[in-house]
Amino acid sequence: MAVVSEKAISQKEEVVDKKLVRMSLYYAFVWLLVGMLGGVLTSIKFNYPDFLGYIPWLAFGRLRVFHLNGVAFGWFTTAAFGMAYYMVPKLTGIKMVWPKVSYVVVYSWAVVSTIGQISLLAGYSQGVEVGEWPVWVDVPVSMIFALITTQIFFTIANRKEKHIYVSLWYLTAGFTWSTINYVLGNLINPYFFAGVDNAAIQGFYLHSVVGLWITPMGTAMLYYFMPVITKNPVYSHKLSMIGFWGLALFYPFTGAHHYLFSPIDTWVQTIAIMSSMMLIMPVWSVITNQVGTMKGKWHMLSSHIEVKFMVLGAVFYVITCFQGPTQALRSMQQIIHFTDWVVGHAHLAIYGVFTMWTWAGIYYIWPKLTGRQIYSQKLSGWHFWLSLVGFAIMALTLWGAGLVQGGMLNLESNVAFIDTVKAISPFWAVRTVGGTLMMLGAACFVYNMYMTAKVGRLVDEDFVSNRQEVLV
Amino acid sequence: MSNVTTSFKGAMLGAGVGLYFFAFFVGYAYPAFFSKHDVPKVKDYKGNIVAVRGYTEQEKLGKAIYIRENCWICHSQFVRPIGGDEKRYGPVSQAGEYAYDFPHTFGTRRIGPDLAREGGKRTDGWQYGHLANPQAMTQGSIMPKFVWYFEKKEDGEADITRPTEEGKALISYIQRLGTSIGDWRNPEGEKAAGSTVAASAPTFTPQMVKEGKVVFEGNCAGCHGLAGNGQGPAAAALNPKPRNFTEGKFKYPVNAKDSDLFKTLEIGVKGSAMPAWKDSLSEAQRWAVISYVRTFKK
Ligand code: HEC
Ligand code: HEC
Ligand code: HEM
Repeated sequence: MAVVSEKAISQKEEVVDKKLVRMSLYYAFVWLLVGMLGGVLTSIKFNYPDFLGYIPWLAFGRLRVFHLNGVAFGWFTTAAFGMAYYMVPKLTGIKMVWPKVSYVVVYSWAVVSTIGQISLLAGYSQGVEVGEWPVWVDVPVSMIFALITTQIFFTIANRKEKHIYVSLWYLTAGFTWSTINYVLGNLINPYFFAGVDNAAIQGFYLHSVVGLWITPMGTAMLYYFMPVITKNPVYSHKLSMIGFWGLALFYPFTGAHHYLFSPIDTWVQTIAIMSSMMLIMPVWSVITNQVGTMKGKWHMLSSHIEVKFMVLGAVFYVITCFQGPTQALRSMQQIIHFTDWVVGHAHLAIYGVFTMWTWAGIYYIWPKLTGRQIYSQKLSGWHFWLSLVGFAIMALTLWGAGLVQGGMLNLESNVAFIDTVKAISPFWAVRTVGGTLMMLGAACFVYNMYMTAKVGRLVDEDFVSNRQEVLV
Repeated sequence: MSNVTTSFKGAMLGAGVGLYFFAFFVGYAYPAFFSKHDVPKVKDYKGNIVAVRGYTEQEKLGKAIYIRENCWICHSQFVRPIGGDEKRYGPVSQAGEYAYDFPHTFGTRRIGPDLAREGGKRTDGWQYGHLANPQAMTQGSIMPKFVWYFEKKEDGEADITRPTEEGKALISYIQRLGTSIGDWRNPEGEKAAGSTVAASAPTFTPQMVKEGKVVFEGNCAGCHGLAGNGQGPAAAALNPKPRNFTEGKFKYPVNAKDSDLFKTLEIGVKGSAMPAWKDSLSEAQRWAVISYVRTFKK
């Protein structure tokens, strides 16, 4: 049945093009650091608007979109490509078809995304939220997405493993949705739909990036690594399918919840709110499955860094899943929309959940990719705690700031706008501290991975047969 | 058997992708084609249906710059029918007002105030002074200084009296925002004089003067200068110039009493950069700042 076990997989290790995956992940590491640095610099500007002087390339608006695209596309998407090139061969039992195409994808993605990022600083933003790269970057990006999607499809068509494991569902669907969605959001919508319709469809695009790209990629990783690491079969396969269909059915409808109370048709907004409620379902199915799969393996939490990150991500996913539906309610929107509350939510999901899960996966596969054991457990520990503490600081201050500003603007009268800015500026200062810790955590991680590849102890018989004790 | 499952699974995947299109057509494409949002017509503030005019070339350039600098990251562009929105920004936004927007700039965060009804709220001079140096206009602002939309003075500083073509275009776009519904700030028939309540001035105390100083330095000094001489950092861009309080002369009316100044503060001075303060300063703060303004007279 649907059991992906370590034993079944390790025999097929040679189907993975290790160099390719390594390259992808290295490139993702670069954007992880640069993207987060962009975030920290932006956050300093909240308290010191004159920070970095008056250079157009480093103006607030430009750095802010540089940060967002740097982490969403530079880091997460690049890592997802790498992970797909790892998981798809493992789950199909064959090498990727057209091995050269993989390199075309990885290289051209590296070049194109770098150009995209630089063009944002140079002032060529397209003005589409989460799709700011200009149109001449969007065209090759769409082609790259189409290429890797096709490649995955053909690999699956030729697969040796009869069963299509749930991760493959998420991967293929996620890649297909995203190819279509990227074209729709970046090449069609901004040029053919005006005003209110443009906003509605852009909400749809934006939410499909988070719901039909980042979420399925992260979920695919979770469903893959959870059973492999714990050596337990997935708790319930049926549940994972329910989650998948819930996602496919409800996510696309939620787009308009980004523009509630705007001139977008009220019934569209109402559907968006209702389907936001329904999203509890796919989230809970993932969480239930995770908890179920951990059964009897909770002791690994103290010794395995990958398990730590996986469980932490799940805890944050539970919070996301309560927060998202509540904040879609109209009464809640009055207060928290347009405030830092939403920024806190976005980081909770993308950083707190999916970045954590990606890290869990990388900690697990890095020794396989490099043939060396993780260089330093101390650094992994620092990575974990800096990320957790830094993020807790950041999330709490953002939510606090959102409530304070939203309350002042919407519940009190006679408040000058600037007074709300002054009221939350201490929160922003603390947020910078949190963000810096998060970045340091990521730096520990990247350094650790780099050193592993260079000087880590070689993987030996002991490591393979007795992984648990070696890899803390 | 295996082939059957494979094609079954393929069909299921097709269904998954189909759901995306299903949602797109029901929730987004259908309203786009049938709800007629893109008809450039709105109800003006008097309730008549009027046409919205397209952007001029200059405004188009202005919007492109608005997008280039990602102003929409900090400024939303729709007034909601809830909360403090209407009172703070003006009439609720209507679909027709956006009919010419490719792409839209609704925004999702208000790090600064909503700009949907910004047009006509301030004079061009105020806008230029603010664009080059927001902190001079609003103490404590965190908006960046967009100095590269101005020619440079000898000393390398931005000259707020000489915006570049792009700077002019940006402000022309800002001044157009929300004006499709007519001049709603100055409804016909009502005198711009505004306040109907004739306020009577309290007696000024040293305590009030002290509080007034704080209010003045935070809100007024950018234009009127710390010394009250009308030479604040933003003054150069303004016409008419901010009042020089050291002369002790006023216009509205000449020999304005404290209650006249109170009214001026409430409604601002139309046709000048002098803003209305009724929504951002309490009555007590307004009296306090007047008591402080009176102290400048030599
Ligand atoms: C860092 C976020 C930020 C960015 C980026 C930003 N602003 Fe602002 N803006 C603010 C804040 C905060 C205020 C309120 C304080 C003030 O008046 O300066 C403001 C105020 C304004 C106002 C005055 C609103 C009023 O009170 O009448 C205008 C007009 C404006 N901004 C235009 C722009 C334009 C045009 C751009 C892009 C070129 C821009 N802003 C970019 C933060 C920002
Ligand atoms: C954006 C610039 C600006 C700011 C900020 C500003 N003013 Fe003014 N103010 C002006 C200008 C310009 C005039 C001259 C109007 C005219 O001559 O028609 C003026 C005129 C005045 C007058 C004279 C009215 C009269 O009857 O002649 C008073 C009093 C005054 N301002 C008080 C204040 C106070 C108090 C504040 C702070 C709460 C303030 N102003 C903030 C620009 C500003
Ligand atoms: C449990 C399901 C979820 C629900 C119901 C939900 C709901 C919402 C709502 C209502 C908003 C808009 C808030 C506002 O602007 O006032 C929002 C914003 C956002 N969400 Fe979620 N969310 C969910 C999960 C996620 C996930 C999993 C991600 C990331 C992968 C995510 C990423 C974001 C981002 C990036 C924004 C901010 C967009 C912006 O700035 O405009 N959300 N979410």
